Amino acid sequence: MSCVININNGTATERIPNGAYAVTAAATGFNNASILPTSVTVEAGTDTYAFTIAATGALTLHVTENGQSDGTAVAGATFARCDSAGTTYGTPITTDASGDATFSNVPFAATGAPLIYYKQTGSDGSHEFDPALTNTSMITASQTNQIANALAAERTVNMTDANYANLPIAAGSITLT
Amino acid sequence: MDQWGETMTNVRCHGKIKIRCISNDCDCLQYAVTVLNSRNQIVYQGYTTDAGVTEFRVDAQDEYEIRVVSPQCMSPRVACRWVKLNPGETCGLYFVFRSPIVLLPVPKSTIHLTDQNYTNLPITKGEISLCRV
Repeated sequence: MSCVININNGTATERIPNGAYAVTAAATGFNNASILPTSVTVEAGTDTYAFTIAATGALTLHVTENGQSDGTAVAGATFARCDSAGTTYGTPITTDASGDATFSNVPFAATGAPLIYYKQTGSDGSHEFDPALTNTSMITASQTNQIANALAAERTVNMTDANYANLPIAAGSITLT
Repeated sequence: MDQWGETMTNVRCHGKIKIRCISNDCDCLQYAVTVLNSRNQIVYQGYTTDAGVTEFRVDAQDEYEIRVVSPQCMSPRVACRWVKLNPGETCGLYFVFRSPIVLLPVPKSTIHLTDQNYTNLPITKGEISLCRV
């Protein structure tokens, strides 16, 4: 006897009779042979069972000031993998001196590849960034997405004496967090 | 087979009736036994032993109806047979009962499928097949 369980957004609810089962998986974009565990014993009193599966793709995010592959690279930009609701998972990645950061083990498929959600969580402090949730899909094992982090505009900051109008403070610093 | 799950046969027997009640998986049950004559008068009423056995004498040649009522958990609840018998002869009857098969619903299980490399990241779409070994 076999039982096929359709997973939707990571979860399914099914009536499964007690017994020992061999486990196989089919998830587009993932390495189906990587399913763990490969066997499970369904028993009375235990109603939750967890499985994991892995993918082998690599998604590189290349961050430049103009969003072009030959633009000025931005190092120190950080990104996080997300689900469709924007919740973050795993260890954030950070762009290197070439402006590259890579999400390893992401799904890909020639057709029907699942969406990969991510968002930028920071930049180097002198560039603008868009923190919105973004998604992409991959039809090959590796892919590079171009991302723009424009150089932040120069702003003039004045600091004067509160009791002597317009008297400049000779030396000091202001921290914006 | 009749509605009670027993074959109704007119068995020509005489004098003493021995009854043995058998169940498929319960060995220690008492059954209520009632015997009526052809005028619908009760000529015997009692219980079997825990082993499901009883016997009784009948004095007149007649056609008797034997009703056996099983404990509440058994099926059928009532079984009837008719026997014709004469004084001085013995008739043995078996009544077979069974425990009802109870099919309890299998409780629902929750299955989670997440990414091995991104802890708790749900897999949007997929299938898990479980094959009994």
